[in-house]
Amino acid sequence: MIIKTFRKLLPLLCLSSMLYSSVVAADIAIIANPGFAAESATAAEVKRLFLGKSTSISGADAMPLDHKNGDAEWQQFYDAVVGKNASQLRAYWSRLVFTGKGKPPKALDDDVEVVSAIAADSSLIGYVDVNSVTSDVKVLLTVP
Amino acid sequence: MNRYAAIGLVLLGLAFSASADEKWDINGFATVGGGYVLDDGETYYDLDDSFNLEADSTVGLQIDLELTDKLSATVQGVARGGDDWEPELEWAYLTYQPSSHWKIRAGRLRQPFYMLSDYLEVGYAYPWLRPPKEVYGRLPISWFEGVDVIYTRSIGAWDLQAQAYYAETDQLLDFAGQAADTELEQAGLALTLSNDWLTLRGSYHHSDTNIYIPALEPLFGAILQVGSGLLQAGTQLGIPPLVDAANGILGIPAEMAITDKSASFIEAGFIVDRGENWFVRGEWAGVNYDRSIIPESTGYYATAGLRDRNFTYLLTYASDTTDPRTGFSDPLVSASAIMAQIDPVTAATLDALALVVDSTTFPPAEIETWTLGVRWDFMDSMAFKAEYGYTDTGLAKFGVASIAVDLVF
Repeated sequence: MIIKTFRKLLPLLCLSSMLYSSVVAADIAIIANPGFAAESATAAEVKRLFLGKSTSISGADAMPLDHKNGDAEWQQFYDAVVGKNASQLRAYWSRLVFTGKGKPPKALDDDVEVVSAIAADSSLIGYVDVNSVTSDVKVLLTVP
Repeated sequence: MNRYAAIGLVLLGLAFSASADEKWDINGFATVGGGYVLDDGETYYDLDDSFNLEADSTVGLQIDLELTDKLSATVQGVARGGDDWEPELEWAYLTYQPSSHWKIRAGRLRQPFYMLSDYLEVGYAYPWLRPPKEVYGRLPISWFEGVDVIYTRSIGAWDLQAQAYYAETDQLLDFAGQAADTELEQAGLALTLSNDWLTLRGSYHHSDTNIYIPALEPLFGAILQVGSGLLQAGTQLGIPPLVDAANGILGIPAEMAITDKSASFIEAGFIVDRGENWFVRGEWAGVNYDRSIIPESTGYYATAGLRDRNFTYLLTYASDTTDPRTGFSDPLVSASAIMAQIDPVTAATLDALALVVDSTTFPPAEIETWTLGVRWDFMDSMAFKAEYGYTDTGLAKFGVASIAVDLVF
C-alpha cells in the first residue's frame, strides 16, 4: 500500500527535486582570503589540494576547507572538480586515514561558516555557492 | 607489550590527561564476513568446507592525536574473528613531520610489502571482498617495531611517495601450523608513483631471518646422531665415501633450518583508473630465501573492474606458485647406498630417515583462481560484497563462496 502510494508520488517527487536542483545549482566559487598569495587556481590544482596530494595553489601554501558531506555545495564540488562520488571518496580517505598518511580536510556546516573562516585565515581555500561570496574573500576559480 | 608500543600509549595517556582540548580523531572500521569451500574436504588457504562467519570478520579502532604542529601519535587496535576476537595493537607510533615532504615515524608499524599492506583490515578501502590470497597469503607477519621515513613530492603531474624502514622483530608466529619463535632484522623500500589515472608501485625488502621451529628439533637430533655414528664408522673402517656422506648428513640440520638465513621479497603493482566506469589493476610478489625448508614462491593477480552506479563488478585471475627446495636427503641416500653392502639394517634406517626429511619440506604447489565479485555501496560508509571463486590446485578443482559487509565510521 505504502509502496503503491509512493509510486504514484514518485513522478511528483522527481519533478520537485528537479525544480529544487535547478534552483540551487548555481556555480561553485573556489575562494580564498584576500591576502592569499595567488590570484587564480586551476581545477586540477584544487582537486589535488582537496585530495591531500598537494599543499599549495600556484606555489602559495594552502589548506583545504570542506563542507560537511552531503550538502548541495559538497555534491556539486566533488562531482564537478574532484570527480568522485561519496563512497569513492570515503574509500579513498580510508586508505590514508588508517595508515597515518593523510586525513580529510576539516569541514564546516555551510557557506556562511566557510566564508567567515576563510576571511579570518589567509591560507585556507574553500568552495561556496557563487551567491554566498562576500567582499571578505576573493574568488580563484568558478566552476559550473 | 614492547617498549615502542608502551611509549606510544604512555604519551597518548599523558596527552589526554594533560589537556582535554588537544585535537584528536577517532576512526573505526569493521567487516562481518566469511566464506567456505563448496567441495567437501578441500581447503583454500585458511578456508575450509564449513562456512565460518568469523573467518573474515574484523573490527578496528584508531585514535590520532595531534600533539603539536609537527608531532602526532596514532594507535590502532584490531580484533579478528579468526583469532577469537583477541584484540591486538596493530599500529602504535609517533609521527614527526618536519616539513610537508617528510614524515618520520617510530613505534609499531607495518612493512609496506604490498599495495594494500597499510589497510589490509579495512575492507571498505578496497574493491575485493579480501585481497587475493594467492599474493597476500604469502607472509605471516603483520607488524614490526622500528622506524620508517616517508618522503612525498610532486614532479609535474606525478606524485612520488618513497617509504623506507628498518625493523627488528621478535614474534611468536604460526608457521605451517607450528608455533615458531621468529626473529627478523628487516629493511625495505617502497616506491609509489601516481598521476591522475595511473599508479605504479614497487618494493624491495631484505631480511636476516631466524625462525626457530621446536617441532623440528627431534628430527635434527636424530640426523646428527646418525651422522656422527656414520662418521665414526667411516673413519674406523677407512671408507672415505662414507666419511663424505656422514659429513653431508651432519650438515643437513643447518641447511634445513631457517636460522641465520637471509631472505628477499620483491613486489610490483599497478592501477589504471581513469575515473570512468572501469579500472584494471594487478600485483606480483615473490619471496626468495637462502636454502632452507622454506620454498621459493611467487604469486600475482590481475583484476578488471566495472562500475555501475553503486555497484562494482570484479573479475580477478590469481596464481600462486611454490617451488620447493629439494635434495636435503641426498647425503642420507648416498650413505644408505654404501651401507647397503655392509649393514642392511642401518641402510634401511637411513632410507626411513631420508623419507622423513623429504616429507618435512613443502610440496610443490600451483594454485590458480578465477574470482567473480560484486561490491554494492548500499549506504553511506557501508558496502556489501559477494564473491565466487573457482580454484584449480592441479590436484583438485573447487568453488569458494564468500560474503561480507564492510563499514567505516
